[in-house]
Amino acid sequence: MARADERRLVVLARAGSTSAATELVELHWTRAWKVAYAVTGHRALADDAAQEGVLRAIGALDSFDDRAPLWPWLKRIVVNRAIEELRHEQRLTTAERRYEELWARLDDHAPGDPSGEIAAAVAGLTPVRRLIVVLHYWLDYSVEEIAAQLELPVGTVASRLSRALAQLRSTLEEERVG
Amino acid sequence: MSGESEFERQLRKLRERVPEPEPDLLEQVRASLIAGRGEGAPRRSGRRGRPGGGGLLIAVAALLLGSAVGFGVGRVFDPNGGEAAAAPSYGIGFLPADGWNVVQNGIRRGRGATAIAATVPLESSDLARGGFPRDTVADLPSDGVVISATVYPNGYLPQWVLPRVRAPLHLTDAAFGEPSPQRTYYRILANVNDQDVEVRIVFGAAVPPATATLEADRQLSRIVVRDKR
Repeated sequence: MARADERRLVVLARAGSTSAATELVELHWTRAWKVAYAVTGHRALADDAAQEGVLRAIGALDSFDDRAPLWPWLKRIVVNRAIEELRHEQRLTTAERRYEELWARLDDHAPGDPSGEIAAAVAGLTPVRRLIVVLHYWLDYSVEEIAAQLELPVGTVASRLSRALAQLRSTLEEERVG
Repeated sequence: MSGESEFERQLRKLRERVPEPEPDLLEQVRASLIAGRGEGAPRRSGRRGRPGGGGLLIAVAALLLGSAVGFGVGRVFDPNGGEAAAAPSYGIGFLPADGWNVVQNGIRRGRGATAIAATVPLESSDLARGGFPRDTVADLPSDGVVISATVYPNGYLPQWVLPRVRAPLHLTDAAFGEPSPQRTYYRILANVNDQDVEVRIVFGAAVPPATATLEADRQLSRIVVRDKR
């Protein structure tokens, strides 16, 4: 969809048009859900986070600067909602390394498929490290943006990302040697 | 991205394998939009947004203090505090009825309290977590019904005005009913007794038996929402 069309829909939705709001949701729904699923790794949590994030965004369109594309703004709201969901479920603070269904799915790979090995290694990270990896490599957030979203110092995020990568490389090397 | 190693590129490529959402989920979002906005519905002014954590706490505390008259809920579960036999009402509940398991979950952060009625036993994970009983719904038999009713003391969403509906609620108040291969979902988003309420009704079959529909409608009429004023 052209930017002008999206902007027109935003204007109409702000004015109270449900059909325009619905069209905006339909336009971004699949990737909004995928973002929520990438962050939570859990289908039911993603369902809640994506729905509430999208509805929250539509409800807050007045605060959106329509000179910019909608998706980055919407994505940030959905990601925040997904992180809230993780915090509520205490999936970030626990020391337990949950093997979420997303990672089980990605880990389901043919022998010799390197992407499956990487998925298995990512699944073995602590929840916060895994989240930082997802935010950086899947959702294309910079270290500074991740720090703002997780309310952590930039240095902490940079060091956790670096340690996560080192841990992933080490795990993969161990597996290949072993 | 430039400067990335082959390993990092492979890591990034994994995102292509994230699955798609369930198709009927978008229908639920559409239903929420239609129920929550309505064409030409008046909108709240920017001043009346949902308050932050402090405002929510105050509103919740006010609800708790003001709920001297308890509702006829069966049991009350607080995800943070375990089961309490005679805990106070959180503002929404079901009148007791034979054949229904009724519980009330404590307040989830950022959301209101949820009362649940089900024709099947509720999964312990749902009781522990609070909110919508998704694990119970996942295992719902074809003749089963789950009703979850959530009150949002500070409004469902900022700038939204939900349509005012007088209790008792009925299935005909549901703005949308969407069959899926194995479930039927209804949702009511309404302002009842000056409180924003979301009711989700789930049947365990795409075409629910008439008896289940009738029973669900009766149970809906047993939802009691505390008057906020």
